[in-house]
Amino acid sequence: MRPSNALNAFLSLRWKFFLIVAAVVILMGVLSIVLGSTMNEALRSEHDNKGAALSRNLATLAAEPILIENPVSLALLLADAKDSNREVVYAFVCDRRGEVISHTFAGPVPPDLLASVRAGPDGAGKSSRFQTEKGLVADFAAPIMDGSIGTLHLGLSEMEVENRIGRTRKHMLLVTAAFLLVGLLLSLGVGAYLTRPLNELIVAAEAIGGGDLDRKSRVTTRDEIGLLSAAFNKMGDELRAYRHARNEAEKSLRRAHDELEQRVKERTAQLADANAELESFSYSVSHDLRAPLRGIDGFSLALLEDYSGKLDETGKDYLRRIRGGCLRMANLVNALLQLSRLSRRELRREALDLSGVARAVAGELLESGAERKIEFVITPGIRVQGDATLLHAAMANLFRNSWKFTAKQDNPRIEFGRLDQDGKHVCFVRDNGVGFDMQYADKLFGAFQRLHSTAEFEGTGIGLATVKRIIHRHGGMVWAEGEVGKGATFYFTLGEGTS
Amino acid sequence: MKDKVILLVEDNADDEILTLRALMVNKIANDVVVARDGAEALDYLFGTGCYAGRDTSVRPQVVLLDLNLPKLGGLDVLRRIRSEESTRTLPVVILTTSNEEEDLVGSYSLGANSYIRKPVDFDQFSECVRELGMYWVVLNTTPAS
Repeated sequence: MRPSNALNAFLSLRWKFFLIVAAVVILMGVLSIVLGSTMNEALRSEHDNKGAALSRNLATLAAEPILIENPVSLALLLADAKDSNREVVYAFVCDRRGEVISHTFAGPVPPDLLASVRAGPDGAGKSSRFQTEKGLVADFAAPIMDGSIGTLHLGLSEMEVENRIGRTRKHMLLVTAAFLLVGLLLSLGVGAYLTRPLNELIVAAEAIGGGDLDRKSRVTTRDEIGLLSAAFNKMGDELRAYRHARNEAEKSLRRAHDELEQRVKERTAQLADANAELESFSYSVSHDLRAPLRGIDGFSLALLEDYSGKLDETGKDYLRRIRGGCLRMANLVNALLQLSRLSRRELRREALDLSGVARAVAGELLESGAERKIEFVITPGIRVQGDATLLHAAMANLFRNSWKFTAKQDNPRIEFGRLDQDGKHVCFVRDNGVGFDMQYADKLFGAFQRLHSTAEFEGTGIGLATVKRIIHRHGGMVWAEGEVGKGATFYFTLGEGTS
Repeated sequence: MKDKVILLVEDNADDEILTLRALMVNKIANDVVVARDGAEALDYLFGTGCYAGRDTSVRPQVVLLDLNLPKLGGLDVLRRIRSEESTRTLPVVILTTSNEEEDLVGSYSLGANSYIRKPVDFDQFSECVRELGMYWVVLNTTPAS
């Protein structure tokens, strides 16, 4: 039996089981009904055979009293046949002409019986049935001496056999009905019994699916469902172990995270302390270095002015050199102070016309060194997001750098512009100065790193370090390209805010 | 001009000599009273301590005040000067090495009349002192005490 897919899809296992059992029970019921009717047929046939045998036997016995014309003996024979078998309702004998010569009836032979018998076929066998007050009666005719001297009629009641058939049928129906009922109830019960562990398993699975991993299937049978349940519980254990492991991992991760955060906090505090210390250090260094410098310079000048008569040229030259050293140191201190101040200053981003800043810086440079001829090429309209003060300082340092290293050029030229590189805006300051060797490119932006001697080019070695710090504080990048004798280009980006 | 005193508050002896020399070189011949710390400056102004009994009606023409001073800092001295009725209108010029924004803003907030950063280059320093003297001692007029 293969239930259709639709049945498979919509019926629970319990109902499927019930339907299968019901089908089997109904089939058995039908079979028993068929068996019952076959049995009835057999009963009837046996009854008929009995009737035929009885009538033939009686006909043989009746031949003698007829031949010897002994009616009493014939009547006794018939009465005996009737009495010896309670199924025999009547018996009578007709002569060749069909006249009744002997019978067992209390009165005369009922005429309708006679009429019916005469109308029926001649010869042996059951001829007809009659409904009498004693129920259905079958009439069996048997010829006496092959019909040469008459015919014997025997009436056999069918009430007995009908009763038996009726009883059998009733029992069969009862048994079938009981069988059906018991079968169906049993199938329901067994279905419930078989599916109960499955339901338990389903409930447990749903509980686990809902997150209750401690839920276990309580099925302990040793059948397939029991095996399934055991496997299911094992899976639950695995899940629980996995969850436990995961929780532990999460806990340790959280611990590690907390520790890390704590460490970051500590390090940040340490860094802040170190920064504050460094700032106060550079502040006081800048301050405290200046006072003695001023003293050295002042007294050198006082010597030069007040005691010039007592000094020869060499002495005066030494004093001038002392003053020169003081000035350089003062510049260094100033640059350091500026660098430290730029680091401390809060970054304030705003829309800024960097071209305008470049023009202003160029103007300042031209004012400070009016004797120099230099060409500034500034692309207009370069707008960025950045801190005006810091970017002014950065541009000033870049321009001053280019200004310085183009000093020995015939047609010095400083260019400010912007180009697109990989979709990013990159600003640049380009000069046609002395340039530099690319292998020292990474040293350009370090504080106090110089690629040229002080005698060759003046400088503190802090300018480009300042530029780098300002660009980095904007979240940008700064780098340089150059070649000895062919000028240098300084590129920078300004992080997110560049537009 | 003789009665116009300049009060120089300066703890650094070198700076003191150089300032005095710059004044002299620039022919500003006023009396210069030098106080070596903030407390001494206040003693002079209010006739207390070592200046007890001084005629405090004689007010300096200008006070040249350094900020980094022992005992009492320059800004504290300025605060005292501005809080006393007799010295509220006294011209005070901050003459300092500091170029810190805080010091600059603090000084003006407390009522400094001027803020000069001492240049390292003595030529510039000398020029600076000359201009200071010219302005505050010669050109400027202050209300009489």
